[in-house]
Amino acid sequence: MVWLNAIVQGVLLGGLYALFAAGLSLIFGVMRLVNIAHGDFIVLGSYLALVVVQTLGLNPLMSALIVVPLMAVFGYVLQRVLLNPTLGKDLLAPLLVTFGLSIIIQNGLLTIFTADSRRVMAGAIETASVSIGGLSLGVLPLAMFATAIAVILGLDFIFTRTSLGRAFRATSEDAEIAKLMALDNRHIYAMAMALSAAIVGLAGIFLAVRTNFDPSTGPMRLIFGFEAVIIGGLGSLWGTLAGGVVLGVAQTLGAAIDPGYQVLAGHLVFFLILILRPRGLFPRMDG
Amino acid sequence: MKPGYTIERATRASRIAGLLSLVVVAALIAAPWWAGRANMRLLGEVYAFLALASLWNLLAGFTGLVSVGQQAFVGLGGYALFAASIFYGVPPLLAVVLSGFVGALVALPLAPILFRLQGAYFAIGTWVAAEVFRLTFAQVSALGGGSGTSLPARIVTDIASTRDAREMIVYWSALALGLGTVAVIYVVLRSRAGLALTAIRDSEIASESLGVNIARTKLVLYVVTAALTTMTGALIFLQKLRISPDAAFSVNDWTAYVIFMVVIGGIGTIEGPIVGTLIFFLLRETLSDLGTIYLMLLGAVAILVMLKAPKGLWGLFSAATGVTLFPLRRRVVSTDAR
Amino acid sequence: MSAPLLRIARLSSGYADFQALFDVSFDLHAGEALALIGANGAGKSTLLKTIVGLLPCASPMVAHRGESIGGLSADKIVRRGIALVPEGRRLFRSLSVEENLVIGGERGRAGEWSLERVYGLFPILREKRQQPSTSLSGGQQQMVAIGRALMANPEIILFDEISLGLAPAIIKDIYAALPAITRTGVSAILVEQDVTRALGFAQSFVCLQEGRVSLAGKPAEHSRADIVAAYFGSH
Repeated sequence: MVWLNAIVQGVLLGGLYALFAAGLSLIFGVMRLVNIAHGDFIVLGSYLALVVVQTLGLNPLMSALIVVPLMAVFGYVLQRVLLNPTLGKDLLAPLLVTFGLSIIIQNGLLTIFTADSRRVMAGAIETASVSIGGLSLGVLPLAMFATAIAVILGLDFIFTRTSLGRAFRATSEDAEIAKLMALDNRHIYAMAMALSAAIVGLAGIFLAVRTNFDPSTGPMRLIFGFEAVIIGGLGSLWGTLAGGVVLGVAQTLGAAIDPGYQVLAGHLVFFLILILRPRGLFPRMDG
Repeated sequence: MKPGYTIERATRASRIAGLLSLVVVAALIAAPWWAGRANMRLLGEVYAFLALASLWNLLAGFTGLVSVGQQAFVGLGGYALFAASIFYGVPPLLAVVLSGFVGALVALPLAPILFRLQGAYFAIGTWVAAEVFRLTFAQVSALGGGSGTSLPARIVTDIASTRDAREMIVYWSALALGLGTVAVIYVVLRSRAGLALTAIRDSEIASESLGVNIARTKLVLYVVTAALTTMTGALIFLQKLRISPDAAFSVNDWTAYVIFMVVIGGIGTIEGPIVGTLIFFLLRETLSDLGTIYLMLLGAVAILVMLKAPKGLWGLFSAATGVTLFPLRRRVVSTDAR
Repeated sequence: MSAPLLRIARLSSGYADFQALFDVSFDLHAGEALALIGANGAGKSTLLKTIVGLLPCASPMVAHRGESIGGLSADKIVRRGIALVPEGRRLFRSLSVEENLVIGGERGRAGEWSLERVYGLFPILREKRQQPSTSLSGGQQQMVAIGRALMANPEIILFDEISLGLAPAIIKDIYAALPAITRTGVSAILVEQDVTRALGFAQSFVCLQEGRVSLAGKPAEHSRADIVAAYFGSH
């Protein structure tokens, strides 16, 4: 029963990791950009949620109405001002610019909020749980998992059914010809980053409610998201969910053995997958 | 008279600079007699970072392998030193040298796994590897677990009996390592393998077709860099005399600052990391009181340089004056002109 | 006299370390089809890419309806009504046939070209509308590429090597569709290896040789020998 419980909790935790991973996977898919500051964006979202909840007295989950659009605008502007100029050159420029951003965000948050660990209180929902077959499932983790599925369904819809999705696919495949479709790729890339940052905002809110966070916790979130992406298979949306779940389960099982093994177990499963299935569990078909 | 040409690598500037740097090196060797203890410590730190920055630059600037996980080897070096001297009684300086082999032995099987990741994903993969090391060493209770341990006094006195003599020896070791690393890199880059490296950087496909074995060259370079980084790490913690997993595998200390140095100085040149290291310490010694603001400034400067002057300050200077201190490319010079 | 539809004035252009065009000048008038001929490497494709903004050039070198458009980004130029059917077709492989057409029209100008009209011109595409573009034959892909450009309702359409790599019977089909396009008032610049076919279709021509205009005018005004000399050079 302990093990079953750990697995179920791990699956639900995987929802959060899938949220971390989806934004990372999205911008990589559209513009081959890996945002080293992705984890710091998530923590930035957590602090935004904290401020919104504290100043407006909103329910944390309702704070999404403000946090998500703010993060989207932040992502859009950032892409247009800082990141678009780095694209199309070598690998170094985008990598190092986002690395610099990571340092700026971390220390900016430190300056404003100090290194104290924070948490956003969500009230009754935090402890509420439902009992299914003898397992007690927290309402919050369930909401988290449902949100992850909704986000991935939403992304899937955008990519396959909408004009923006066609533009994403076209630009990622052949940026030059996409311009001939009257697509301004600077705008398309910024829209992708805005969408990624919006998802990051959601992830940040859940992170803030679920655990303590402080300005230095971003990089670990980047690593978890990255591991979920690689485990699931690059460029596959549903793969990120699978990757998140595998990572979540590995971590909760590790923690069940010894709390010190939680994160380590996740890393080891990541390396195991990298050795056994370097293209991930669900590699994209068109390579 | 028949026009004559000769192929040479040295420039007038590089000859003058060569003489000048001999003078500087002599002065640095003599530092124990003119610098105070605090300054010697600072210089020792500068040498260690000079080595780290030069090594990171060798990897990123010449092979395109951008790692944000070099702290894996710095920390490994530190722990190798502590483990070898505490458990097996290896003399600390010998342990520093041996740690290089440890680094190479660890890098050899790790590289093929990490190389499965491309570009920026390789970068994050190296970071995960460093995290695995950090979490693993945090589980080793004989080395203090998560809170770390100090180098026992008997081992410290093993280096030399007096504190002054000890600090002199550690200082010279650091100087030798810093300069030695730059020298090794210069020799590597001037060799056939070095030409292959530049070929990889400039065009992977072209160098494949010229018969350069890219996979092997990358592997060798990764392992060599790992070995030297590990030795540097061992020396760093020989200076500190205390180690903990968080300090040993710190991404900020051993990678972020190092990347800053290389980017500011100029990536892909030998001079860049040297210039960058000096600028970094100049900034740190004057501005670090600003705390987080100082770090934000570092980040902003790095972004600015990457966007506006991707060749760094040395690149700007070199383009404006034509000066190179470590000429890598050969030039055709008309012998008539002399 | 009003400004020509498209004026190329002393245009020089090329790539980072290679200049491909030198001082090229000519006009394209409304309703006209112009053949751009020349040997391989003469700069024909470079010229089309420069006109449509995929390669940079100085501002006054290209003017559309009297307004300078040189140096504008490609998406802005396409919005003004200049479309390119690129060499090698370059369909979006991850998009279906219909999606390829739709994306061509979504941000273009309003006008008479629609999915229905493209399907009317190339009925086979209606049957294959849901298929991935990679499943089509070369000729069908070329039809999609032409349809994709038409969906933006251009007033100038640039064709780059539309018959390259296609079987003769298919080339005939494609060329049979072109009058239906130009009849609607669309002007065209046609880059084509098959000089006879190109000159038969166009009302005027420009011949490039090593990046310079070597001959221009109406096909009937020049002897075959003149055109051959302009094409290959007289050395």
